[in-house]
Amino acid sequence: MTTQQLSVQSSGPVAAPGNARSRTGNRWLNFLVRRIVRMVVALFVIVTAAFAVLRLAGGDPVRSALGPTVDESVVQARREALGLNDPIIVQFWNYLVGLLHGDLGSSLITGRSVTELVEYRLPATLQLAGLAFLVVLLIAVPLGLLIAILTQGGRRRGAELTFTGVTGFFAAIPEYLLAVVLVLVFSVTLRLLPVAGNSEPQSYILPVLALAVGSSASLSRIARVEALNVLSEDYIRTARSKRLPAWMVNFRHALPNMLTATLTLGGSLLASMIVGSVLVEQVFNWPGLGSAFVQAIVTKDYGIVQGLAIVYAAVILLVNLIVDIVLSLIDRRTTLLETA
Amino acid sequence: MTSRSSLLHSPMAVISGSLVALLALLAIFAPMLWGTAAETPNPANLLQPPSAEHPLGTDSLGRDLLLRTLVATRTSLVMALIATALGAAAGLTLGALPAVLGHRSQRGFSAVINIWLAFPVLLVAMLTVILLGAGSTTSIIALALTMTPSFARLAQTLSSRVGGSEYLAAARMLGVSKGRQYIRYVLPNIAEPVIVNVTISIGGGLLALSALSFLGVGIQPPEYDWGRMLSEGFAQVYSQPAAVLGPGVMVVLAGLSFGMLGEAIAAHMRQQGRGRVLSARKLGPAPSAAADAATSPDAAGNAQASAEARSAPDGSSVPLLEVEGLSVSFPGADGWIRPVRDVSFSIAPGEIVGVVGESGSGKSVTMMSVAQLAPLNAAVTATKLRFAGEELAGMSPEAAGRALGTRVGVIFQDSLTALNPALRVGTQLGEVPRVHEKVTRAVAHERAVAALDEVRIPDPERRANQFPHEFSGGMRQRSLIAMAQIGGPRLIIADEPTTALDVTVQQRVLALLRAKCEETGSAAIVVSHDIAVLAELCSRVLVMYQGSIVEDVDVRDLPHPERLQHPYSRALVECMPDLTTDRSLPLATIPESPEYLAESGDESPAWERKPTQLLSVVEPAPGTSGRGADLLVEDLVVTFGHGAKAFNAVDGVSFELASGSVLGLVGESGSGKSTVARTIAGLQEASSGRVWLGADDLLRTRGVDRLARARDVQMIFQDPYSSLNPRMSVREVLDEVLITHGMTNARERRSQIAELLDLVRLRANTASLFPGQMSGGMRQRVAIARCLAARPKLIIADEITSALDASVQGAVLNLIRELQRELDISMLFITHNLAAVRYIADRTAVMQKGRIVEIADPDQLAKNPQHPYTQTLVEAIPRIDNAGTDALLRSLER
Repeated sequence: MTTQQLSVQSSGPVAAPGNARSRTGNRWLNFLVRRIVRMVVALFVIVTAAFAVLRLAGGDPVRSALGPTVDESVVQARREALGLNDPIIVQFWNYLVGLLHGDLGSSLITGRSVTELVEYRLPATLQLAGLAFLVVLLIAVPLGLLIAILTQGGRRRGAELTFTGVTGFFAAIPEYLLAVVLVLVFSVTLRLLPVAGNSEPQSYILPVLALAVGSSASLSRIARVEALNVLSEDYIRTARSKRLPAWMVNFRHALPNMLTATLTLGGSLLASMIVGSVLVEQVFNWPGLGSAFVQAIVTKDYGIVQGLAIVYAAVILLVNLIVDIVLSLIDRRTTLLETA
Repeated sequence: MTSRSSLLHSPMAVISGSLVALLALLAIFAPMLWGTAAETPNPANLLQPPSAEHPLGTDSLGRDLLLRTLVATRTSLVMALIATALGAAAGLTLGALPAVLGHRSQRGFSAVINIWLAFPVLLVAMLTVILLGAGSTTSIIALALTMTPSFARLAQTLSSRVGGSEYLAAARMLGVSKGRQYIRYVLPNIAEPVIVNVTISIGGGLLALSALSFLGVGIQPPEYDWGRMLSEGFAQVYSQPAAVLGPGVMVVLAGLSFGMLGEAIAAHMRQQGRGRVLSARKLGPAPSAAADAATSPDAAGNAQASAEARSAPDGSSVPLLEVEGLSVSFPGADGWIRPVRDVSFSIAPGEIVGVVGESGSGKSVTMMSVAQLAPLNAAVTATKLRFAGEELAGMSPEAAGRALGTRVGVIFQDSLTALNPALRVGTQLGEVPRVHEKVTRAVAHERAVAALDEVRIPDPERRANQFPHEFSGGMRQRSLIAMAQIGGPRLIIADEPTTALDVTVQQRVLALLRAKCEETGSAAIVVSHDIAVLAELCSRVLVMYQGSIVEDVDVRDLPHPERLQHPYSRALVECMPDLTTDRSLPLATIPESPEYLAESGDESPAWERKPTQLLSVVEPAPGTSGRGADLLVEDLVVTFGHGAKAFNAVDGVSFELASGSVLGLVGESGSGKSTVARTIAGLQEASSGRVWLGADDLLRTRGVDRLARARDVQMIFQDPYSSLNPRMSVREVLDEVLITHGMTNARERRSQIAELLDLVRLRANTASLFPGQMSGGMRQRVAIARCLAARPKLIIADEITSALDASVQGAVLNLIRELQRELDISMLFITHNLAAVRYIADRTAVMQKGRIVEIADPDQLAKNPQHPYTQTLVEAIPRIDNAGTDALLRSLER
C-alpha cells in the first residue's frame, strides 16, 4: 500500500522539481526523529523491565546477596540505605531521577556506585568490541566482494565451495570456544602471547581475534551474497556498456551499493559482538564490563546487574542508531527513509 | 515436483543431512545405552587424563567424559529444538498475522517487533534467568524470547509481499475468511524461507544455549549439556585440554550441521527457481551455426542464401554492422538451451532498424550479444560479426567490448534500475569521456551537463548533481539516451527504451532518439514488442519469432498486412487494435499453447457461437433481478497521506454505468484510475462520496452484507503472474470461490468448474495445473474464470492486457468482450490504451490528475477529442499508418 501511495505521490504535483531537495531534507529529519523516539521508548521499556524483574525476582535481594550468615540488622541497614523499604512507585521514581542524573545505582554487597564501575570498565569493553568490529569490516567486505567477482555467473565452483565451507566452519565456532583454543595454542603451548589481561599491546591480539573471526566469516558470506546481487543489477550492465575498466565497475559502481546492505547486517553484528565480548572477557579475564556483569549475576548482586543491563542496552541501541544514520547518509534513496 | 530427489544430488545436503540424522540417533539412543554409566560418580577415577579406557579422560567426579558428551546430545538438541519451535511459532504469529488483519494492526505489531528487536539479546536472557531462576526451562524460554523478534521480522518482511499481492486482494474480494487467508495464502507462500531460517536457527540456538551454560546461568547440575560440560572442563583446560575437546567438537559439529543443512535447502530452492544446470563437461561445446552447417549441408546453403539476401539492403554503402550465423545458448537442465538460432542481418550507417517479437523470441539477447553485453553464462557464436569492417567473431566478449569501445552506445529498458542509485547522474555520464578520452574532471562534468541539455533536460547544471531517484521516469530515460550518446557512437542499441513510460512521454523520448540519430548520423537498433512504435521510428523492422529472424520488413509495407510474407508478421500487425479497427469483428489472434486452449480447434470466430449451453454458472442468483446492475459513482474522493502531505489521488469523480454496458476508464500512470477501481472493489477506503450498485450503497456495507457485496463486484487484475496464488491449483482456486459462496456439494462444484473453464476456452485438463505451469494468457483466463465463478454484477477489469504479449492481448480482449456481451454483465474497463478501450467500451471516461476530464463515445473520443488532455493523448498514440513518415519528428515541435 505504501508503495502505491508513494508512486502516486511522486508522480503527482508534489514532485515539482523545485522543492525536491527540501522534501528529501524533511523526510530525513522525520526519519531521525522517529528513530530517536523509538530508541528512547525502547530504553524506557528496558529500564522498566530491568527494574520490575529485579523486584519480582522473589526473596530479599539484599539477603541473598549478602548471604545467610550476615546479621539481620546489617541487612535492614543496607535495605534502608538503598531505599528498598520505600513504596515501589517511589523507588521507581527515585531510580528514574537517579538515572537522569547519571546515577546507575549501587552494589547490594559493597554499596559501591555502579556509575564508577562503568567509568572504570566500559573503555576496555569498547576498545575490544570496536577493534574487533574494525577487523571484521576490513576482512569481510573486501573478501566478500572478491569472492563474488570470482564466482559470479556460476564460475569457479571450487572456490565457492571452499569459501562457503571455511566460513561456515568458522561461523559455527562459539567465541568463547575459539578463545580457549587460541589461549591453548598461542599462550600455553607456544608461549607467544599473554594469557590474560590488557596490560600490553600484544595482549589485545587474541581477544580481538577470538571476537572477530566468527563474525568475519558470517559477514563475508553476507557480503558475498550482497555483492552477487549487486553485480547482477542492471546498472552494472550499464557500466559495462560504457566499457569502463573492471576495477571501476567493481569498486565505483558495485562497492557502494553492496556496502549499504552489508552494513545494515553489520550493525546487528556489532550488537551481537558486544554480547560476545561478555564471554571473551570471561575467558581472558579482560577488565571490562562483561566480566563484571557475569560476576554480578553469579553473586546475585542485582544492583550491579540492573545498572550494567541498562548500560549494555544503551550502548547497543546507540550503536544501532548510529548505523542507521550512517546508512541513511550513504544511501540517499528515498526507499530507505520510507521503509525505515 | 522433483525437489526431494534432486536435493540428494547436492553433496552439502547429503553430508549435513547425514550428520543431523546421526545427531538425532545419538539423542535417541545414547541416554538409553550409556545414561547410567555417564552419571554414576567413580571416586577412584577423578580427573583422569585420556587413556584407553577413558578416551577423553574423566571429570571431577570420575565420570567418563566421552560417554557424558554423547549422552548430553539429547538434552542439548531437545532444548534447542523446543526453543526454536517456540520462537518460530511466536514469530510467525506476530510477524505474519498482521498481513491479513489490515493496516492499523500492522502498524501496532510492527512497533512491538521493532522495540523487541532493539532489546539486547543478552539482557532478555539475563532478565529471564533472574526472574525464573537458572535451569533448563528458563534457558529454553530465554532463547525462545530472543529468537521471536527476528523470526517475526522475517515473517513480516515476507508476508508484507503476500499482503500487498493481488492474489490476496482477490481473496479478500471473494470474501475468503481471515483465518483461511492466513492459512491458505500467507503461510504457504512464506514457508520456504522460514523453514531455511528455522534450520539455521537451531544451530545458532545450540551455540547460544551452550554460551548460557558456559556462563553458569544455563542448565544446572545434576543436569548437563555440552555448554555445562565446557564450563566444567574450562576450569582445568590448561592442565587437561581433552576435557573440553568432546563437548567443543560436538557443539561446533551440531551448529555446523544444522547451518549447512539450512543453506543446502536454501541453495536448492534458489536453483529450483533458476532451473538446474548441467556441468560444463556434460554440456559439451555450445551449438553454433557453423556446427549446424557441418551436420546438415542444407542448413548451410540456406544460411548462405539468407545472408546474401539480407546483407547490404540498398546494395550501395558498406554496412556498419554485419552479423552472420549468430547463435546464443545458455546451459540448461538437459543440455544447451538456444534462444537465438543462426541469426543474420546487417545495418547500414545512419539507418534506424527495429526489432520486434514477443517475450522469449530472443530479440534482446541477440542485440545484447552484438553489443558484447550478454550474460556471463551465455555462449555466443557467430560466423561473422563485423563492425565498421573490423571482425569481432572469435574474440572474447571482454576483448570485443574493448574493441567496440564507445562506438556502440546502449540504452536500456528500465531507467530506474539501469542508472546507478548511488552515483550522481552527472558523474555517471561524465565517466565515459573521463575514462575514454582522459579529460579532466571539470571537462567531464561540462560534457555531462551539455549532454543532458541536448536531450532537453531543463536546468541541466542542477540536474547533473542529482541522483537518479530525483528524476522522473521520462527524464531518466532521456539521460540514458544522453549517456549512450556522450561517447559519440556510430551505433546505438536501444532495448525496449520506452516500455515503462506513459504514452505522451514515450512519444517525446522516441522523437528525441530519432532526432539525435539524424543529427549525429549514428545508426540505431531499437528493440520493442510494439510494432506501432517501430513503424513510426524506423525504416526497417526485423521480425523475430522463436529465436530466428523470420522477416525483414520495410516499414512502408506495415500499413498493408497483405504485403507481408510471414504469417506471424501479418498477425502481429493485425492483432493490435488501433483507432480505426472495426469494432464489430473479433481481433486476429495467434494461437498459444493448443494443448490447453480449447479455441484452436474451433473454426468459427468465438462469439459467433450461440450461447446455447450458457450456463448454469452465471444464471442470476435466486432473488436478484438481472445479471448486470447500474453503477453510479458520485463525487468520489480518495486521499492519501496526512496533513501537509495529504494528496487527493481521486478528486471528485462521478460517473454512471448502465446495466450490461462497458465503461472505459483511460488515463496515464498516477491519474487515479486504478484507485477508483480499488475503491469500488472495496480494497481501498474512500474519503468521501458514494458508490451505488443497483440499490446498494457499496461504501457503507458492513457485516453480513459484506459477502453479498463481495460477490457482486469482482476485479480482474493487471498482472496474471501475481493475481493467482502460486500455491493453489486452478481447481483449488475455483473451488474456493464456490465454497465461499455456499456450494457445498463436491460433485456440483466439479461440474461448475468444468463449465467455467469451458467458458474461458480452457480445456478441462488445465484444472490440475498450478500458475507456474501456465502462460500469461492462460493465467489471465483463469483469473477471468475466478471472477465469473462469483457471479458478479459488475466486473472491474484493471489493465488486464498490458502485461501480456501483443498476440495474446487480442485473444484476451476477444474473450472478455464476448463474455460480457453473452452474459450481459456491467463492466468497468480500465486501461492506458486508447485503442483497446475504443474496441471494447460503450462509453469512455478520460482521467487526469484524479479527475475525469471527458466522457464520450469512444469513436467520438478517437476522432474528435474535446479536452486538450485527450487531444494530447490521442495524438501521442503511435500509429502504423504513420510508418515511414516524419510524424514523430513533428511532434517535437509542439
